[in-house]
Amino acid sequence: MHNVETLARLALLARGRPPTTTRLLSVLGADRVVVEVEDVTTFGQLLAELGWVDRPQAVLLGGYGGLWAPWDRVAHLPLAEPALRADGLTLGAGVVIPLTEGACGLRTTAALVRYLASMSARQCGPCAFGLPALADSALALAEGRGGEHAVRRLLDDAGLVEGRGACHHPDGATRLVASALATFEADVAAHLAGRPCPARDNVLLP
Amino acid sequence: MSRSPEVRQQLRVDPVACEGVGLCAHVADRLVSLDPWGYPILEGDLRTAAAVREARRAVRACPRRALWLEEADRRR
Repeated sequence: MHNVETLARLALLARGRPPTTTRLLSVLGADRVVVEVEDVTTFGQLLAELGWVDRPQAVLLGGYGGLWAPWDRVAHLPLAEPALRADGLTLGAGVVIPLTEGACGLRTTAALVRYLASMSARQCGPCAFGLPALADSALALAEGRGGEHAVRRLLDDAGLVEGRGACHHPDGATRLVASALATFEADVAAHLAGRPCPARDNVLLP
Repeated sequence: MSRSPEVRQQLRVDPVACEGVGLCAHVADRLVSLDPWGYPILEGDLRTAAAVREARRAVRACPRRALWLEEADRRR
């Protein structure tokens, strides 16, 4: 499958131009913008350029079926695929979604999994039934229900979905969930301990 | 004693064709378990001739023709 960016790059190469050092990114914040960035630009510079004053707590890379990463881990990294891959990350389809300090990563993740469940083509049982179950488990964890078993249940549900679809739509959801558990580890502990989440109702996605 | 087949085989499912009927888990309960929604979770490589026979039973039993045997994972 080719997208416009790929075709534009090919056209330049075909005209004998050197490979471009820029790429297009969709950045989803209060505004949704498409920007062209040099591959040496860091995440910190990208958000500064877009007028972000407050640092986000985390970023979601690659879209709704992507990977959460703590801001401290990526702020200094360049927006270049090789550098990110070396760090176990990827820009995937070129989508960067910063999560503001005042938003709840777990609630947001639960909402995203629910959205991904609603977008299932419903061709395969493990996806059609497993993603709604995964969304339920993610919401239970976000709401601090289920105690110490909440994380186990979430991981079990992810395991029942992963790799069992004809396409990789469900795998995006399990990747999202796994990265959320790692990135929002402190929030998981706080939610399960029943400490109120100040960002409870602050869910901006999808 | 059943010997290991010369070419290792693998039971596979087409997840689109599968409708969760569940006959496979009845006729091949050592190779197939069902998830909470009734869809099969398959044992990996078939290590013995008996396992291959059991897998063939599952392939034949499937009313949706969703199961098949193939040479173990050359794709990875």
